Amino acid sequence: MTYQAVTPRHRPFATPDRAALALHRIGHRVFPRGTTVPDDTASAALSSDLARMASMPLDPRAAPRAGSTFAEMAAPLVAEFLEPDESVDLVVLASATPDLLPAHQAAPSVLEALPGDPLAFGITDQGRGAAFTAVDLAQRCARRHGHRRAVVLLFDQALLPYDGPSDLSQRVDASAAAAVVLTAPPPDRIGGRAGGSGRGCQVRHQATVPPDEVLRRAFAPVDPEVLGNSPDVVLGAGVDPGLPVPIPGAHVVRDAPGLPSTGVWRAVAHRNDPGAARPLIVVDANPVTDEVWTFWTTGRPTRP
Amino acid sequence: MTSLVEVATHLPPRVPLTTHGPVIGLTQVETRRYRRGFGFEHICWDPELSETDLMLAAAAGLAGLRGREHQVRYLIRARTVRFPSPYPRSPLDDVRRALGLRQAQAFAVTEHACASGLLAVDLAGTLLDTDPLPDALALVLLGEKAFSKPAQLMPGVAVMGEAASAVLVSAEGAGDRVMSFTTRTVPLPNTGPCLNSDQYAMFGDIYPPALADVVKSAVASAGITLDDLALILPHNVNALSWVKTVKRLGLPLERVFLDNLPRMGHCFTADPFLNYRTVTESRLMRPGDYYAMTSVGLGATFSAMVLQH
Repeated sequence: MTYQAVTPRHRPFATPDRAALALHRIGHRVFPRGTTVPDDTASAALSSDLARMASMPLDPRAAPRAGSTFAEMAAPLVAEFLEPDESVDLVVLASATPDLLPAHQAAPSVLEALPGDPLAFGITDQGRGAAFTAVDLAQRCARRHGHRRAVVLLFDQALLPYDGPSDLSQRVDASAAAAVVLTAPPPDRIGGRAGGSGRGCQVRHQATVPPDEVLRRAFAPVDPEVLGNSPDVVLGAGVDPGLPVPIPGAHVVRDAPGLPSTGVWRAVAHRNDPGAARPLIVVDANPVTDEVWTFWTTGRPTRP
Repeated sequence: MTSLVEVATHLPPRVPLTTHGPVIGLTQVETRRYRRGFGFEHICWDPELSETDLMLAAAAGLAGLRGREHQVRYLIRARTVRFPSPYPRSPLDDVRRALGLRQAQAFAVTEHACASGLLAVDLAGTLLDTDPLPDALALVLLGEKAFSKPAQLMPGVAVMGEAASAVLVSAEGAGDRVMSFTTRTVPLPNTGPCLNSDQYAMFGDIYPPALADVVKSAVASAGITLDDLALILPHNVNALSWVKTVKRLGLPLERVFLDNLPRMGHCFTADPFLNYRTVTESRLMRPGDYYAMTSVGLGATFSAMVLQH
């Protein structure tokens, strides 16, 4: 694939008519059993040396267990949630946890399975926020470069070769993956503006947010049209479960701990809204770094 | 238009390859081959420096960051090795706190291996272009610790060094302007820091034409010609590979700045920016000059960015 970018001379932010991507499909799978044993020399050396540098003892039980790599988890999701004729412009891989084989890149294998010749890259080292950043980057790349379809692939990998975190917001209990397919809506019949009418999804990051203000701050930037139409609200395990949701009529789902990157997207995939007609708000937080992420989208517009 | 406001570097002590080679497992014969055949004489190397210290040392050289910390909205780490610390530890978050970048969201860009650096600058431009704050900045950190055997040597390609770079990026500021960026991934499945012999053979075959193609493409996208390039600031790998590549470009080898290769080693994603600092300190470019930065990542990703000084 050859990705070419010419730096725009005018900032796309000043041109809101540029296509925005909307949530098109979303799928989630848990991979309880895999066949790949993480014993290749390079991956074993990287993992053990990282743990040594961080003074974390290696878990001797973890090494021989078979699991699934990111690429192996991506393959069935791509097959199920993308049609062979749906050409993809961009694919972003994101995770909080390391891959089962950290020395091997996942993107080249994923690229071979994807329709089209997309640009592919990965986002890591942001804990629960990596998934939101990946969606945000897909959206912003689309606005800058006119992409029509992007796929965000999210991963959790539970076979860590050292003791994993016990903190509820960081714990990882299973290997899982999610595919978030974003597409540019067709032009409005009335206005003829691609992606107009605010139907694209949006992501907002906020820093220095005290734990007890997480939800107040998270909902502040969301469109009144979304807040006032009984949205589905999905709250990640990084959000204090004792915080009330100050949105009348909201259908609230709180994600259980254990899937830091894919958990909230599992809840989105499983929500009882087959027509995707209701507005959706997804919130997650990192209580360690005092950051909050909000994803929202209006529902599919009902036409007379 | 995306601009490099300032580029700073940190160069750890230079260790002769004759003493460093045995430390990373090279025999005497192999050490001689990497010196005489590939051009590596010294390697920047500091085993006492942590990942966090390395990034902070590079950022410490950014005079333009002081007093503007509140404007930094994005702290982006370009990574060759995808996972820099045991989950959930994050040296990058330690850096964010130490630099006082309270409003910045920090994350790593991966999957382009050593070409992730140029991608990170392009993504920084995308984020800034679409940020509602007109004076927002991004800080991109490049280079990493060669902490493990698989990250210390690319057999037949390069000896890895630990010099690092910090780049302050703006959407509309003064500084070197990014004119275009081209990247191409030719999938070599299951690749990472280590390739097997078949993968190396395939990588060697596609390397010169693929790299030449992305340079040509970036130059064309920038609206200039190859002759307009004052310099190519490359990734510091095997000098012989550049002989083949410039032949395809029709450029003299002198147009490629290779002076740092024998002095630093291949410093992961940082090389083009380390070379930028040396070139600008030596006044080898004049205001208005066009130049190209290049990087190649195992996997395999070929990238070129054209800028105007």
